[in-house]
Amino acid sequence: MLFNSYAFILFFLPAAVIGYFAIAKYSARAATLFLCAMSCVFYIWWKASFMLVLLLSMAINFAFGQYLMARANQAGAKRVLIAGLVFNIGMLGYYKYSNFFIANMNAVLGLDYSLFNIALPLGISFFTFTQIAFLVDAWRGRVVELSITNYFLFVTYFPHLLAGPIIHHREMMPQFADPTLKIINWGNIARGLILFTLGLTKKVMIADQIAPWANEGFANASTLTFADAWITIFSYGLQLAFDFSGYTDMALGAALMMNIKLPQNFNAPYRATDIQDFWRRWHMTLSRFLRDYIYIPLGGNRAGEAKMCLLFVVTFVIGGLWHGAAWTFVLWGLLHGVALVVLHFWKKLKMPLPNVLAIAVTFIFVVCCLAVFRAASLTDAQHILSAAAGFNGVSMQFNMPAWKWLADSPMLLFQSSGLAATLGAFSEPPPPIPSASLASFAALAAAFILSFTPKTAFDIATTIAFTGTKMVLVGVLLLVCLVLVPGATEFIYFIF
Amino acid sequence: MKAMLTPQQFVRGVISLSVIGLIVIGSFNWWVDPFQQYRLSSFYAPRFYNAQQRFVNPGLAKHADYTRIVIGSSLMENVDTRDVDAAFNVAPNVTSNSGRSINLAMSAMSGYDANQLLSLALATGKPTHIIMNMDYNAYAGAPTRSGFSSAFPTYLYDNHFVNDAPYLFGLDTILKSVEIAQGKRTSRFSESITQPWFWAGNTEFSAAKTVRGLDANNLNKNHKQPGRTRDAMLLSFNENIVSLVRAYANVTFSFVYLPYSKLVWADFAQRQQVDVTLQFREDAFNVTAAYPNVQWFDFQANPALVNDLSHYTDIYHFSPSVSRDIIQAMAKGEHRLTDETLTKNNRWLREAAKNADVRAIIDAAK
Repeated sequence: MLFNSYAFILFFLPAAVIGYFAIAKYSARAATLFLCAMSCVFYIWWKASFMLVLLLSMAINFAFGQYLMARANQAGAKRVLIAGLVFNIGMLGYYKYSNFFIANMNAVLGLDYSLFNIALPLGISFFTFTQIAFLVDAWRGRVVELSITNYFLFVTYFPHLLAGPIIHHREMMPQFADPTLKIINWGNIARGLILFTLGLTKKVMIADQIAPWANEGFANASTLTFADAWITIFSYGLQLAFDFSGYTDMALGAALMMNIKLPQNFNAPYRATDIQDFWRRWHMTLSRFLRDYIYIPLGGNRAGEAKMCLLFVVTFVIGGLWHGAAWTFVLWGLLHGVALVVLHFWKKLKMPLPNVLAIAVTFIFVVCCLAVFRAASLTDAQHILSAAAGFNGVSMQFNMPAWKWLADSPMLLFQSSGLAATLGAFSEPPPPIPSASLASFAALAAAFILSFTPKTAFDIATTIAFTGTKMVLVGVLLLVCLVLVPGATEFIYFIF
Repeated sequence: MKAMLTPQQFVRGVISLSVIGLIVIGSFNWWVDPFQQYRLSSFYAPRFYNAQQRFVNPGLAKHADYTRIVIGSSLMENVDTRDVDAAFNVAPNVTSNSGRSINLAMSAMSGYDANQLLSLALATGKPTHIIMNMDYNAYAGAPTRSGFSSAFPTYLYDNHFVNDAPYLFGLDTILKSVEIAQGKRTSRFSESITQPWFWAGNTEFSAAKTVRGLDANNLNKNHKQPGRTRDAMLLSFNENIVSLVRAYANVTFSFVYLPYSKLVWADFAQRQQVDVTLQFREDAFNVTAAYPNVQWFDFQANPALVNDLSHYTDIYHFSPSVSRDIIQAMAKGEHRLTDETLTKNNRWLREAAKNADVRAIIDAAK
């Protein structure tokens, strides 16, 4: 079920919130079971057979977790932990990477093995990483309570199930177990509703409006001019940021209505002043996972400079591969890893850039890397980045029909101002701008401005004063979003 | 308005505002019903929006008065149902909304799109005869592939009111409803129920127009038709079309191969699609051979239609007069496909594809 669908917004979410608190009045355990059931419905809505994969994954991880909890830090437990990790990585490998491996083996060795006919279970990357973290925490003795219903809810809780945030057992289980959080809290419902509305706004009013421009640019990667390439790059960079952070805001908002605080996943990432800062603000729970469960266990900052730099690269290549089985993701991860190495040495020079320049450089680097991330192939990525670098000439000509009118925009402005008529200029009026394309332009401009404004949606929702004016504003915003819902698309991160 | 509200008042206010807004919008859209999902328009001339065929057609299928359906891709859009009724000797109706035939064509219709629409129409019990063009490209890809670039509006292809929210509350519907209420005519639409999707009015049909802008080395450049495989085509045909033939044994299905210009066959040759196309013709014919409610018609191996580019506006699309002639021929039972004619026609088409000299054809047409 999509967060940005009528089924979810008008029926599922209200039913989940109302049902949860209504049942919790009589039985906390029944309320938890109710949320488990609702989460199953939410997941099965896509495809019932995926539920079996999720159930199998949870059952085996729960068994491993129980064993590791009872024998935390004891001899022999490490082997069980490794078995658990092999199970999780194996499952992820089978569903996500086996065809990639076979296709590359075929290409390199000239073989002709058939690819598996595998459908990728939704959210598998998210629920697998969540449970890997749980097993490692259990082995380290950091898991103190393990009720099967709470564990079930911890993994399946619908706000985070499909696209995160990647949560920690220790930050969720106390909340599920706390009876005071099962009492209706109107403050949390109001703030959750605002955050959910702002997330929906980001998705349907911004990301979905920009999407046609990004899609058109990437579909015509080989024919882009310099100007086209930059519009394509900025479009996707801003589309992804608003799509994914919009999803996260909706997830956090939905959970908050039920008094559950999910970890923040975004904090104005395009205001980052360097690439390290960026990863403290972008997909923060993935960064946390990569740091705590890959980078630090492999040696981290203690490993010596050379190994540390190598670990930067290895960690981010794994991060890239986590997104999907494609060389574009590997290269995207590699670029970020190398950028961290460069930053490490740059910092040693003690030549900090002015803040505005640092933000601009980081932003440009990140959106260019995202072009690699989004491209259908490395060749397409090369086409786009070559055009953007001016290797095909620095032309301000626009080739893409979606935004070709931008070339006429000064004339259109001149005409709309009324000056053209006064001066008797332009007997042939320029063709009208398609309204969808104008919406894309407006959304792109809004996204650009909002990306660099100080307050995030989370800040607004958590600090807002409940005045009548703001009530009307939020109500109207929600209504406008609901009107735009039929044109909404799937969230980009659902495919990961 | 500056007074502080309690969180509960705030939540109630936000929800009330948006719910009341939705009720107002939904009621207005239901009343105007621009895509005629609940009734044929009564207080304004019906509007058949070309860009919204997949939204309007289900409404037509549910509420129009018909017994014969003309359905297919853009090649069928110029068929005038008055010609169909005349050809099949149906007395002309006096009221505008009461034709015996209905045209439910859709641009880039896939097998899936056809299945969705025909399932809805057949479930009404109204149709007794389906005339459907067999466009090979409709069976490319997975059986669930829609030819519609946006999400297919499945919620309109049933009789459940409860899932109509995207129609009742959506921006597209609001804009159309407002346009109708204001009496404006900014969108492109037809008001004729006998020609709801007709586009040939100001279109030039000539050999010169047909070859304009063609790349002789890549005839598919302008149309970007997908590649096809025999297995996928047959799977889609079986799941989407044969399933309906089987389920509605009392309904006659007339499948027709409409003519393509010889440049389409040259395009198939350029893309190695000739074999798969001819194999599909055999497969589709054979899998329906056991069904007495199926008829096949073939106008593709007709030299007069295939070789004369003056009938076309591009390599695929022919003029309304060709549509009219074809319907008349079908009504008379001409150009029926049999085991013998299938073999003979396939042989002719293979030769046509093989022998087409693209540069010479284009030069001659210019």
